[in-house]
Amino acid sequence: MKEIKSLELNEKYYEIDHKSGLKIYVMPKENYSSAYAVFGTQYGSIDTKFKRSDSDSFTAVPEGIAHFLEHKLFESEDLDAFARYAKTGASANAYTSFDRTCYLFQCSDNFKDSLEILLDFVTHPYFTKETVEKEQGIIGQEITMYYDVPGWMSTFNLLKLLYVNHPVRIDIAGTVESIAQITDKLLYDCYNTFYNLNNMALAVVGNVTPEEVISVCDKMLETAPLLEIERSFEDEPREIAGKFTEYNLAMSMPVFSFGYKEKCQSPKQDIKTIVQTNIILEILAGESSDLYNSLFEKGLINSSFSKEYFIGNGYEAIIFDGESENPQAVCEEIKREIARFKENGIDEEIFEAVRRSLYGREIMEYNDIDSIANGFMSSHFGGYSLFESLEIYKTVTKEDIEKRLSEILDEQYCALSVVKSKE
Amino acid sequence: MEFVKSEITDGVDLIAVPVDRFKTNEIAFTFALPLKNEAASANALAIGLLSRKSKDYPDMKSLNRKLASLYGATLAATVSKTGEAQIMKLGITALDDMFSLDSDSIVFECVRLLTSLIFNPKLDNDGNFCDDDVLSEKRILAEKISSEENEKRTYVLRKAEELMFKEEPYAINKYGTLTQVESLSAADAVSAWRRLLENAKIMITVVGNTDYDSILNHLKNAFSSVDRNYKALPEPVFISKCDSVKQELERIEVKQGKLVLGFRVNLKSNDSLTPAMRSFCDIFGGGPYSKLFANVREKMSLCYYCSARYTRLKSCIMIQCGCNEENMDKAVSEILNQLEDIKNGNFDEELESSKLGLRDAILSVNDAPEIIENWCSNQITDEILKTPEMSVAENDAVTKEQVQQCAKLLTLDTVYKLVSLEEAE
Repeated sequence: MKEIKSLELNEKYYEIDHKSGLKIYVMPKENYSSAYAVFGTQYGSIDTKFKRSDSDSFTAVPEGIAHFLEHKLFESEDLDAFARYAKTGASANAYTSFDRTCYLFQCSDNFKDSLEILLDFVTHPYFTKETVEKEQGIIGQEITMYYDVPGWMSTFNLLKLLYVNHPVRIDIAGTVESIAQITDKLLYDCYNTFYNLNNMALAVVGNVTPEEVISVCDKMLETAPLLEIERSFEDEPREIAGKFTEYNLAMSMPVFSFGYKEKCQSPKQDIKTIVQTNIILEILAGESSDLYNSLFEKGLINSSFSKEYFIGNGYEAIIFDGESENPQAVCEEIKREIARFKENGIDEEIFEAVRRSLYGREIMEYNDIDSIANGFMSSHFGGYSLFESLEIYKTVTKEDIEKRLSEILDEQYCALSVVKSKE
Repeated sequence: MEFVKSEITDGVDLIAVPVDRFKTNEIAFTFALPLKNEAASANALAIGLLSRKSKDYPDMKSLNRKLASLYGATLAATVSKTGEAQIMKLGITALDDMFSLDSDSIVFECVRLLTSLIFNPKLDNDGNFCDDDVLSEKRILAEKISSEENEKRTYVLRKAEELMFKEEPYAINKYGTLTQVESLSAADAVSAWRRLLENAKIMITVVGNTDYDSILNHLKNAFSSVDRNYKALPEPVFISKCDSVKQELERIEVKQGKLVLGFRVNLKSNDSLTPAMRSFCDIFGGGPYSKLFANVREKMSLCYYCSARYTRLKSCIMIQCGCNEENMDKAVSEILNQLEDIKNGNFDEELESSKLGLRDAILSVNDAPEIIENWCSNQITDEILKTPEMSVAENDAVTKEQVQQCAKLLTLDTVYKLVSLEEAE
């Protein structure tokens, strides 16, 4: 068990390599009333083609299967997981993203019982032909529901413009047609590959001790066989698939997503690059930037405007989104401002102000037990350590930022997606 | 949670929650005014205007730069409704002083910033808000009203409320209407600003680790220049039950239908039975152990989601479902069946789960400063401010008989259906 401290944050956590193969992180928080636990696997909607180290060939699976599996794991032969949590008082949930599936709970009392339930149901799958068929109907409804959510549609339509082959362009839950191809056998294949404890991590934050967590893991987890997973993504060209798309819904305020496809230097982005890019976005389009204030005063955006460095295995993009009566005009202003920064460089004073502001925001992340626990998932699967980013905010220079700026936000690779009512 | 309440002036209190376990402090000014048709838009406009600029920070950029220099402090103005009160809030989340790289107190600077925004807005020579600022804020407010319609869950709930509470203030949208926003003038905005300062019930909440005495003095000083004319908020209109069910079906271009059921609850907001009503609502349609989730959604697959929400201050329970048109009538009758089931006392296991679940949820309020702040300001219209621990004790004391009694206090008032055009074809 390793203890990792940050004097600056006045926090410490424990990192444990459990004998089962699972990586465990525990951050005790004094005087907190509750604990938050998240158990995750590096497996998401983009993992549709993979090869196990004990197999010779790649397996291709239907789109949406990671999310489907998440739903199904809550069931077991007798009591489902929600019914079991109902006896401990914990509130439980799960989510599937592009590259991660996580199961979580928060509780004030009966922590060890709830952790037992979490470890137990995630490590004991139970699927039959009948339960799979029933779920196809339920998830079909969930997929349909998102077709009415403007922000969701706007983002996914943008990803379809930016990516030609990479599965990040498909809906996390798949489509009604793709999930119809899912069978209990396919679910077991995916489960046995990606829910190997060597591919997973557990993070617990709150009123707990590492000893409590380890004792439950010792009791519940068996040693997993060593397994390596090779993931395959079709070659993704540098070019984008399209420049513009519009989708119509019954609504009042148009919603847009405007994105730049970036070149992936390596399958995953290192933490330095992430911090540098976030600083650039804040300087360019944060609330204290010229761009944000001028767009706001011209009536082109409102406080729903946001920007994101959107990254994962084999994909990397910068996305601006929000509501606007004139999305095209917003894009033109963003492009003009990027060109101005690239030409003139970055003002020292602004750089320092933004760095100080983001440094503060980074510390603020350490309030909430859920954001810390999910932060462990990001750092673990991203291949860096939790406290590293705070250090980088302190040491990054204006020259680093300018160099990074010269590599990104190329107008040739940008696209716009709009969702509005029919005219 | 422990708090100290200090009266600043008539109807204005400082609620200090001293805690040292967080990285941030929360400071918020919450204003409560009666929800009125003629004032709702102007009040919402005023809080928006106050959040953008002040005499000391005459443009948005200078204010946003100030916030950035305060280690990325975030400022937010929100409008909501609690019962039949309209709630305007302006608050800041800021880093705790222990992380300051120089010797300045971040918290105190934030309090000063908030008082600058609230007490010294940017006005023109005639004492009005500037026309450009008013125009820009009217645009933001109109867009908020429009953007609410983008989210179909919010949209259909609002339509159902408009139908159910037609003649009552509760039907008024928290932002007012597009037409009202359109007609607002700079003079309306100034009157609304004065209303906030002079007539509203005001709660200032500070959650964190700081010197409360100097904050109290600063606030007393700020309010000394205000000519307060405070009257207690009126009681919400109380309708104990209804005689017939109002029904409405709306067809629009959506992929999935939505269903809302509105119930009148024959129980006033200060009744000693309200904790049992909260338990009832949780058993009916709260957690995954609830009747609606376990039966209507899971067992019968009639809805993709189906949940109930109790609004104590308006004595009503609203049920929201995602549901296809073909299943809607079945869903309505099944929801009523589940209510009968509770009336008949079939909920022993659910009660046990609900007690644990609510206890857990209430105690977790203590683990985030912004949730503690919300917990306090949500009670602005109540006589007594309860701590989470007091609510947990009330929850623990709820009996099965009380829950059964609560189930009998509901009558169905409204059924609102939002369905897709395609299904009609």
